[in-house]
Parts: sequence; C-alpha cells; structure tokens
Amino acid sequence: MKLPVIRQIQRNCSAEQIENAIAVLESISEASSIKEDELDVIGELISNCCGALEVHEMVAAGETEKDALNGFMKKVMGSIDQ
Amino acid sequence: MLIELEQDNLEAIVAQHPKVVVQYSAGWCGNCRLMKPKFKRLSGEHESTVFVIADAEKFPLSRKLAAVNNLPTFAGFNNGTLVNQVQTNKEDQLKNLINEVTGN
Repeated sequence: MKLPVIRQIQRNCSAEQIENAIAVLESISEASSIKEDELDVIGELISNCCGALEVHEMVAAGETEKDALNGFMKKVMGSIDQ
Repeated sequence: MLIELEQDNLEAIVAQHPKVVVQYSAGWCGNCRLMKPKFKRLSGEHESTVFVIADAEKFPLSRKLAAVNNLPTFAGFNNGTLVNQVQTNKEDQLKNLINEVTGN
C-alpha cells in the first residue's frame, strides 16, 4: 500500500470507477491461471483502490485531502499490532 | 460454522469451541478481500470447526489472541490454545493451517 498511489487514484478516479476496478480485479483473481506473484500484485492494487475509496469518503465528509490521507494511514496502522 | 464477529468477543468463541480458525481482516485490505471467499468456502468443508472472520480494526481485544502485525492473518486454535498462525494470500497455506487445527 502506497500513499502516493492512493492519492493518484483518489484524485483521478470517481468512487464508482474505483469500485468497478475493485470488482474487475477480484474477478481476475479467481481465474485458474493466475500465478502467486500476480495474486500479490492484485491484492496490493485492491488495497490501494480501497484506500482511495476511503479517502474519497473522508473528503466528501469535509476533510482536506491531506487530513484524509493521514487519517486513512492512521486507520491502517490502528488495525495491526506494531 | 462461519461467524462474522459483531462484537469484540473472539476470546469467548475460542473458549466455547474446541477447533477455531480465524481470519483477521480489514475493509481496506486487498488480500483480505481476495481470501474471504476462499475462507468461506473452506468453512463449508470442515463442519466440526468454527471459522471466524474478525475485523482487526474494530475488534482490538480479539486481535490480541494472535500476533496480528500484517493482514490478513489466519490463526488456528485448538482447545483454547493458539496452534499456529500465518499471514498469507495463498489458499494452500490456509489449508495447511486448517489441517493443523483439525488434525488431518
């Protein structure tokens, strides 16, 4: 998961576009010919898309882009033991 | 049986059931999303084992039953004791963990 990638997606794609992209990636991941390293990349791409979706929601709720990005990363770090 | 945690009570579930496999997830986690349908499917193949999906962000107490420093983390419990855990997006590794718990 990379903050610059999340920012890029959030700035350039609507929430609907991101949701569609996630659905496509999830569908690709179910193909029988997918290799393990390809699955790693798909998982990472979906994480970035999910992050962009959450930042979209926070910005829509009134946060600045910077605060939303920082808030999202705080949420990520709060989900795991460090 | 498959349970999606609605409160921070994994410890009670682990205490109540002899064989438990947990997927710690989060909504933002791509690999968690990829593994969830596989986890659900595998739960249907092991009727004597309780499969639990736990949101690691919402339920920090439940997270403390394993070392969740990456997601998804899968943890297997036998008679209340942590048998093993694995952080993976590979179904085969999840199956190995399940086999450790079920004794297959």
